[in-house]
Amino acid sequence: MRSAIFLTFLFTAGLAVAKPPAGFGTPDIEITLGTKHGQMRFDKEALAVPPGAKVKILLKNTCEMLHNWVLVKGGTADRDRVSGKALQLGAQSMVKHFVPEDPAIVASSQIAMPGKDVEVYFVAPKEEGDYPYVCTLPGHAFTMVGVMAVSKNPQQALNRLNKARPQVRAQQALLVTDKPLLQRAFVQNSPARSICVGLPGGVNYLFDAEACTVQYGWTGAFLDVGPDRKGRGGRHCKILGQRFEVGARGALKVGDAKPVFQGYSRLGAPAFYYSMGGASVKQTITLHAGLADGALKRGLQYAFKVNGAEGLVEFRVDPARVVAEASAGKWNGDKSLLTLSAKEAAEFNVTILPKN
Amino acid sequence: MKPTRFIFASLVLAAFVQAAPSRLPAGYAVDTVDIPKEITLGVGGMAFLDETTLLICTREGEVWKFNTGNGKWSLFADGLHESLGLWVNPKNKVVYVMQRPELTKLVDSNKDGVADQYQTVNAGWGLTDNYHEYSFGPVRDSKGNFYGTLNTSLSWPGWAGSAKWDKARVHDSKMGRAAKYRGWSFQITPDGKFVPFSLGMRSPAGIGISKDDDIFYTDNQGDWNETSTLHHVVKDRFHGHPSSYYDHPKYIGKDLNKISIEEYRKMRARPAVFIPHGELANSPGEPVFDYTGGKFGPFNGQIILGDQTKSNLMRLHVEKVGGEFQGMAINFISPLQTGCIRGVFGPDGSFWVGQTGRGWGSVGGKQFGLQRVRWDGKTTPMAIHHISLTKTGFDVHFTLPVDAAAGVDVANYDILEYEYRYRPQYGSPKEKQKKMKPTAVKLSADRKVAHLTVPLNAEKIYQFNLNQNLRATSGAEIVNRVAWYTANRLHK
Repeated sequence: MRSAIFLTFLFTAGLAVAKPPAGFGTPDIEITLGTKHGQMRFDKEALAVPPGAKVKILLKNTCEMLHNWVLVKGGTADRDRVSGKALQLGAQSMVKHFVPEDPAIVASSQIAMPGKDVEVYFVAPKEEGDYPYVCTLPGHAFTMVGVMAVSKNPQQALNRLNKARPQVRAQQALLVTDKPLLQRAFVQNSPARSICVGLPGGVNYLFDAEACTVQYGWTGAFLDVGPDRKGRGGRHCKILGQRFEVGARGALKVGDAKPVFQGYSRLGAPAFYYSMGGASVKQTITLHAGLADGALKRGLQYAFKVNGAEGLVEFRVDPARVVAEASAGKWNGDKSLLTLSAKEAAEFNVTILPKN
Repeated sequence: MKPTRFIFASLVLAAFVQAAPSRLPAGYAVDTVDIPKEITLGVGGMAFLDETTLLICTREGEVWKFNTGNGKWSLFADGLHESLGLWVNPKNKVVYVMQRPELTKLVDSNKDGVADQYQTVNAGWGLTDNYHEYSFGPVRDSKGNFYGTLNTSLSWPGWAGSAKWDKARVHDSKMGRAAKYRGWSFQITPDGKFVPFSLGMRSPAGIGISKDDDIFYTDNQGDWNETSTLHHVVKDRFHGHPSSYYDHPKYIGKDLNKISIEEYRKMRARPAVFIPHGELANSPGEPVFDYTGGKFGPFNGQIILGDQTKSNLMRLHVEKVGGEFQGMAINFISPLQTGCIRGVFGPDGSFWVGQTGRGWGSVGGKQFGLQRVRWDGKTTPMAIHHISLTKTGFDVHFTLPVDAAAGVDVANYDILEYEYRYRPQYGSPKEKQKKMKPTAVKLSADRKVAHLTVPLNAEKIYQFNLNQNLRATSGAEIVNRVAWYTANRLHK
């Protein structure tokens, strides 16, 4: 409650109510842009306006999270650069509405509080082309994206964008809101004992309860369980987002023994338990976002607690596929193998960012 | 408060609507539970947590708590892989759930009413992504061992749509074994060890246990299974479907197709009860023993069994002849609103029926449901209580004294003797059918037992069609007048 009061104060004191700028006149075009509850997506992912048009965007936030809207000139690399800079605003982020300084920014909104609307007024660029837009709140930039076409023939441009956009056609999508979701299911080309996990923030991963490793991750929407809930069941569920590599099959190694899965905890971030060569392992997995080669990437953080290991503990990754960092232990030359003493392994973190 | 999946609790008042099945013995009533529209309740398992809390796990992988007093629903666990069975430890109320990949203990560590620790008890069996590899159970014996059953794989590429599961099909049958221990029952010891227990199962969708730790499972008609069946599970027993021999230590590496059908027939233990396909059941579910001590009517000690396709409830009565179980099957109540796959007795002696109709088609047509069968505590319906084998024929036991004149008339008892053929093809017709009448009938002094003299043969099924004239003294008719007795063995 205290934080809510604080935020309210901040917003009323620090920010002017959005109104058309002086001399803006009547908008030529008004667009209502909504948010999809719990899905971390805009309800329209393609927009089109004529060059030089006076545009009003009404951003209607129907989620329980904060959102904004930032229009960028350029391609997805420019969009991701802007989103990456937004993450680095630190203490200024709320005051600046998560909108950093960047020459590519064409227009931006204030933060829309949960259940509230904000308005953006701007004049569309004269130059025809596709302009990406994004919500730059932390973790949102991966899925809350769209493209605004500036075109003399907006309808044609809109049709083109809608045709090009990959459609998420889910029969029965499980939606991640403010809590992680876990669903054991058959997924195409994945082990039979798979556990799919959707984290708030649009990062998902698949944990194999047989090999006791994360197999891969994906960004965006979570899982379509529709195929399994029809008829006799047993058909493959579909991951709904963009798959990324974690480069870490058979990641943790304690001696030569095969891991034995022992279950998971759903208190807070999902934590997996397994035993391996006399040692007991707890692996808590959370969302990790960071810059890899200047680009904003989403990945995973593994917090390991390995107890009862006799001898060294190893963690392997494929450096060709991921950028991995560890809080303890020693990497080999090409960073494919992390070696930890039993003491170091008692508590350490590994972060994984995909290169793809 | 934000809406979440975890504290969903609609304030639906106990909405029970009375249903009216066409065959319903006097004194019984059926109520239908009104399920909130947010819930898809393809019932996979049921157990009572306390006097009023019915736990229900679903094919959709959720575990719901249903308060039978106020009709309130709340979600206890979710994200499971097709949960098809539940068991609650009566002492400490710990919940165990069977899902496709493992047996799992669900622990509510912070006591907020929702499971937060999903602990793997055992995952000792093989699993592929073949839809047919269902896992059923668990039941637990008095020594603390869990038992479950594992479906065969759908292996024939013509049906499976792929050759990747085409393993261990025997004599060109449709089901096979694409992963370890498919077609086996298993035991999980109190210290968590997996023990392959018996083999030869095809589609063992229901498992039940008696007070004496006798385990029974039902199987569905199909390849190597003549009709729907009830089997007694005994360690190392072969129940009839040969693909599971692939994982038998004595048969590893052997060509199962070199063993003849006749040899398999001799190796298998005959089902305790044949349940005629189409006439009585198509795909039976969970056999539940009535230990209500009469709270559910006059059938204490019998098995109540539902069917997924015909949406009916049956009664099965087993007795030991020559050291093995065999006995009678008869219809009880039909039809209910949709496929009856699970059942559990409530603390008040009413019988809760967990239903699913998705995937195979069920009489009634609903996709899922929950119904309750109650007995009024006083009305004894006129019924065939059970039929048992005697040295000279059969004793037909009635719940009420039968009309004296009709009861002693052999013309009122039509009997069909027949057998099924054990074969790798799907099901079996009735063969060597022989119509007969008892050569003599005598009534007991209380007119509740008709002693029929019938020429007997082992390994036959005897179908009894009782004439309408066989009524109670009051004139009340028998609701279900057809019963089947499986005579594997005869009294010596």
